[in-house]
Amino acid sequence: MSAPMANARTGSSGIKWFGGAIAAVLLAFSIFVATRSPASNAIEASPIVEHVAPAISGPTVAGGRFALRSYRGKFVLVNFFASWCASCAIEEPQLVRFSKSGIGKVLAVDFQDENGPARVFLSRYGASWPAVADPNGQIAIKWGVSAPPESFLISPSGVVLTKIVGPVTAKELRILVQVAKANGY
Amino acid sequence: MVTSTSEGVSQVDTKKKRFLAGGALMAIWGAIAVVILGSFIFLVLSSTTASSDAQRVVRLEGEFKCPSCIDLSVAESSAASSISIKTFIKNEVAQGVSDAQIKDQLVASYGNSILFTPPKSGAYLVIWALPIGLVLLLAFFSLRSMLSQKDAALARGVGNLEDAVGEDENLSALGVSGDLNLSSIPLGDAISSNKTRAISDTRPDRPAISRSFSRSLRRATSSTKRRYLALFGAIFCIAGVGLGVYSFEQSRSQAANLSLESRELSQAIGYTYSGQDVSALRLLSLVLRQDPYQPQALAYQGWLLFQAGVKTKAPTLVQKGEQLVLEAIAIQPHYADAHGFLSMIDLYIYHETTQAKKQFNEFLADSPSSTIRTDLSAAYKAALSAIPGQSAKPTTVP
Repeated sequence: MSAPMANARTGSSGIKWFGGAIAAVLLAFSIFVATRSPASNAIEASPIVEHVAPAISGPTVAGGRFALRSYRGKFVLVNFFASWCASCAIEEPQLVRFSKSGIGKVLAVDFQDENGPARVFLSRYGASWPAVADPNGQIAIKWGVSAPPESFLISPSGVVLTKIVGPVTAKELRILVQVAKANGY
Repeated sequence: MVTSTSEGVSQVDTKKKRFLAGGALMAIWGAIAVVILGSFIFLVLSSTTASSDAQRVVRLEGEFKCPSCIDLSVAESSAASSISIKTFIKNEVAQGVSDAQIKDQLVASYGNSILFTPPKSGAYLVIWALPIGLVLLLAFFSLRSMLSQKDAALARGVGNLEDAVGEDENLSALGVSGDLNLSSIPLGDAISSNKTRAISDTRPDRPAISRSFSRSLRRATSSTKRRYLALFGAIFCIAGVGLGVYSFEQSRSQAANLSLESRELSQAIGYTYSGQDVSALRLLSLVLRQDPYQPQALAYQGWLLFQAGVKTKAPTLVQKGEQLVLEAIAIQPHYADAHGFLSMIDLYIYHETTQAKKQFNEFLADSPSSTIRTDLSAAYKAALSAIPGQSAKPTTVP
């Protein structure tokens, strides 16, 4: 066999190796991607769960001031809502029921809203809990909120127990608090 | 014969043109490499060099995903959450906070999913390194293949040239003169004295540095190096196939456990075993909201409620828990975990050792996962030993 032919064969074998490697990697990657859940459906655990709750302190929509730490020692539901949010309107009566049951406290955070409409919204459902104004959504960022309604159950020691995306019911909250108590919170 | 000599010379000209064309090809490849390398360096430098606050804000807005959108950056979105993040970035930049700190704060609140590009650490590094590795390999193979082709062409050219010179000498011996002027051919007198030297002299258009580079590259790709190359190729193939097998295994196990398809359910079960009951319960509620007859979700929710009821001495929760586990068994009679939970309920609440043993045997017969098998076996033994008059080591328990 002549040297040029041998060289040509070596070159061609190298290209085949390379082509095969690329094909294998691409095939594996395609399979891997094809078997994943769509990113839009993925649920990622909130990084703040099981950690001390970020501070909430500031003016309320009613004109006073309020801080989350004043609820220390009680189960607290931190509820991010807005008067323009339709799902929040569905959820509100359930929060009123939970609040009246005395199982825990509710602290609302008015997300990217104006105080006037927020006051009207809360009074419509008889919500008497404090609602801290968050017109620029800067409190919401600390809590990793994407869109209201989103709620966080906080233990009496100030630890975030769970993040609830979407409307929650009073019954669910009651069970969650009971389970949390059973787990020593 | 004169015609044949002319053909030989024209072939040499053709080879010369090919060499020149090869040089041009090399120049094109070089230009491409320079452009790629230049772009890469520009990107790296542009991302690290200081820029104005406004430029930083615009760049950072493009680096984060809108949390409430699909495949949109904060910059591209006008959703409420994106507006909040835009304000946040603007405020932080104005306060002189670094890009890394801004990124860390948002990741701390939203997780890595807020980043538009995966982080350049851990397993994510593969995503970044793979394309660069592939481009380098492609460049290497292309260069090597090009040099091999050149060598082959050169060897063929010399063969033809030798034939042509041989024929010319024969013509001279016969007293036939022709138009062939060897001095016009770069080979010159060297051909007759040293063929090897003549081969190297047929490259007048390639400067000495190019020849030296070519020789170095050929040496570098000698048989030993080729073996390394083959090894790298094999590693690539194995890695690819391994990834493929892993994906197939994942999809197969998901298909085998149809009811475990849901990401929420898998996560909830994970939370149950890591002691995060509240998070688990919340996710199980989500699953049951979508499918109220999901047996795994019913069983695990029942088990969690039962445990909470026992701990807080709440009979309603205990009953609700038992009821949910029974529902799960009614829907899927051979669901091992549900039988395991029921055996514990029978033992703890009713002290029904016969019933518990029956349920536990069914649990074992349904081939439970090793995790729950170990956990429940230990709990079963502990529960049995707590009942007066019962053996701590029943024969049916492994």
